[in-house]
Amino acid sequence: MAQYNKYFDNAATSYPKPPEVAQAIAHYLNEIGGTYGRSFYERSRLATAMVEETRELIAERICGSRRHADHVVFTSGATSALNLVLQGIRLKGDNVFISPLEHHAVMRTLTALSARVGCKINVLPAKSDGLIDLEKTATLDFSRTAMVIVSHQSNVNGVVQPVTALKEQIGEIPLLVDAAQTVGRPHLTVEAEMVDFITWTGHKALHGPSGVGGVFSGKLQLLEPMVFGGTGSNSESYAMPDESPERFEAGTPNLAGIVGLGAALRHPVASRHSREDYLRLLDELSAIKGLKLHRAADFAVQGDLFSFSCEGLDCGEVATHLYYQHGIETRVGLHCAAMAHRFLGTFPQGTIRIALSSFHTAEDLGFLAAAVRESVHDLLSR
Amino acid sequence: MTSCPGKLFLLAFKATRDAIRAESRLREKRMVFRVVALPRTLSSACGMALEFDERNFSETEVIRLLDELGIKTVVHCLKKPEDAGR
Repeated sequence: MAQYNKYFDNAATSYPKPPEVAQAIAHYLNEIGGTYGRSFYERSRLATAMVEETRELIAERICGSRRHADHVVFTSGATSALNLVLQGIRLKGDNVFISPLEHHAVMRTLTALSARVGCKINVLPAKSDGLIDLEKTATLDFSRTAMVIVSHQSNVNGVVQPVTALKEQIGEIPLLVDAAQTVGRPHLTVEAEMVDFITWTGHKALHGPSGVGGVFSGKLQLLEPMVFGGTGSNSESYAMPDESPERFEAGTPNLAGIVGLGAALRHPVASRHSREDYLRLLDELSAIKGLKLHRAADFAVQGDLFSFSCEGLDCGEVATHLYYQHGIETRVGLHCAAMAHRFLGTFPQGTIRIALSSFHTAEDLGFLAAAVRESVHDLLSR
Repeated sequence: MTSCPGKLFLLAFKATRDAIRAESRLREKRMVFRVVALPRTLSSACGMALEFDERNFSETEVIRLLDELGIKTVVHCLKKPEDAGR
């Protein structure tokens, strides 16, 4: 009997991981140990070198060059990275513009900041799928705008935003791109030199462990640190060091996680399905009576995830049926993106999200299509 | 030009990343040095420093190699062990 990869919650966290990730973590914990940047002995030097190699690898993945490794600040994930930028840029009573498909990592942070410092949150004009409407943004007044923030790929319908074109329109205004869903996907790269701040995570498309993410930016000098503490450098002073990335990395980093991420970066996984296989899956699902796909209107800007809902059926009921009848693992609900669901008209019930991984084969996608067809048919014919 | 003739000299770094890059670069060039704790008399930072014997490698040569990578360092002259107590 064929064994299918039935895990489709890769936008939450990816599974499986390359085996080298767990091996590297075990090697670090069992054989190396040692802390980062605090001591001269071999154990500490090895740990420090491992962290710095991972910093270079992530820089290379994001901007194509290891030379910009000092643009990489490690955090505990994309949420803490977004907080570092949004809180560190010291918004005052200025405007910020966001896409209509933002995650709570942005929305809750901005809402709190708005109450604290009075910044005004504005939503960029967009088409019905949430794709930023560049014709309309071209005529917007961006005066007194402190920052523009865009989720590179929606975690609800997979729309990939035109961040480079948007940056060309906004000029010197800092652009923050939440690339939690795209860093690690070779066909969805951000033009790093065009973006002021890119936030990313290691445990999704990069196939690393959870607990590691960061900021990539050549403009870290615009930020104030959010966390204060020891760095192993400039220790005679009570002030944080001026040098980046130390300035933003107080405390012992997640060493095992960073080492695991380094292994993931050294062992990238080529996609085992093609864009044609993916398009076929979307076509097969859209043909199911009663099922509505929530995806990009244009497949050219469709990322590796999408959602669906079924008329007359509760999304939770469909997801439960898919799991117990077919073993399909999905994420159901609002996906920590209530704003996106409000915009797409799927609030408050939410949707069932399907998020692909490079490990999925064409056969896995075919199994998924058949399982969804059967589940929807079973539930509608009760 | 060297400021530590016939003596040990030590390279200190402000940033951890520079220390690791320097170590890697100098090992690539087969330079012989010891990784040591930064002497408390020089700095209260708790990072690592690289210790060289000037008879093997000139300070100028080492600095040039690191300059090529844009690595900033501070050089401190140390007494050789046999000089101690004289």
